[in-house]
Amino acid sequence: MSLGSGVGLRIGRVAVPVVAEDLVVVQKDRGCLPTTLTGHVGERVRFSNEDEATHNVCSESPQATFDLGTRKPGQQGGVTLHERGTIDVQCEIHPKMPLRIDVK
Amino acid sequence: MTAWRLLFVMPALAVLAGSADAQSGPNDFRRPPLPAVDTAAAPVMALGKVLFFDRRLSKTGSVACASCHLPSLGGADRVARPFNDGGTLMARRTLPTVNLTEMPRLLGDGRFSSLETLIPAAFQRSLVSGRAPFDCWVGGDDTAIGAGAKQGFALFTGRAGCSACRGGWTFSDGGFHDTGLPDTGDLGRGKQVPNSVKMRNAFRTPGLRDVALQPPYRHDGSLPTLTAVVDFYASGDEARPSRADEIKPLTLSPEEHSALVAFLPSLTGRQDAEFTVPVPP
Repeated sequence: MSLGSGVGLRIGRVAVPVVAEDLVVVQKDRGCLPTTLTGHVGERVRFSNEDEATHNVCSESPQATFDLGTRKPGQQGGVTLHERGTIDVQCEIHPKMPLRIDVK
Repeated sequence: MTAWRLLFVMPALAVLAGSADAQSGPNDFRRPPLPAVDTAAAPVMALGKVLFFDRRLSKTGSVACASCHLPSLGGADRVARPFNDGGTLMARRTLPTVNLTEMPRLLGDGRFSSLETLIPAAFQRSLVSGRAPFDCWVGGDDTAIGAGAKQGFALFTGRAGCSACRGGWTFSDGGFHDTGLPDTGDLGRGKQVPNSVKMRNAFRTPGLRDVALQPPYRHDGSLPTLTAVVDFYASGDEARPSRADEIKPLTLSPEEHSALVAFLPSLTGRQDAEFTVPVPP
């Protein structure tokens, strides 16, 4: 986790420098931080690869089916939450780093 | 920074700082103690063990699970590709049926996500690699493995970068990677996830416990020895878009090559109790 200028929080809500009120998930050490997240319809989740490995972000949950493709270390990707329910997010390359998003 | 934000920052700093310091040391690979036996599940596990050895579960009655998944070989066999119960040569190498609770997805292409899809799940869940000389060394017995194996482990977790995909006590991330083997037309995980470039030619990382008992190697059984495996990784082989980013050119001295090869047999385990082969009724 880096604390660059203006970056204070990498968990939950982040104000600067990413878009305000983004929910941020960090991929690091072959895991997600946090591993569970609560969000609301209309909010955006940003995935930040801070690991040493390339990761993928995808979901096959009915509420949100998406595949953000692979992200090399340092890259980010995001998805907007559109429906209430539970979204199981995974990395296709590393299945041992699940993330659950509960959308209210 | 407001106080409520600090509540989120401090635990995160602690966790991530700890993660940054958690480089791959021997203890990260030590086999954990076996869980206590669930006596209530014993009858189901006993039935599963019998079924595992019963050839009547196959269509032709000619093969059992144990025909290819020999407990004495860490749940694998020693052929490049086995024959199925119809006498047809199968497409891929037998994967070990041990430590499966550590694998989120099963089979080389990950098409199963639950042990319950395999028969018999309760018994297979109980199959765990035995304690190996490596574990004894990690536990404090400096004589348990030789100097070559120790050097090999240092390379494995260091410059050779093997632990990038082979972390944890099973020496596998349970993930899917294209290591650059020649394309034989078998897409592996790519058949299940056709839209992913990285999943093309990607196969699940098998564990390395008991690997020295299980030649030949790779999903197609194309590498006959552990020496050939190390040769393959040192060669760098075929670069293509699907190849795992973890695969990098690797130059090894003859001594380093030998050390990596010497390390792998130190992962051959020994069970606490003798395995008794059941006789199906």
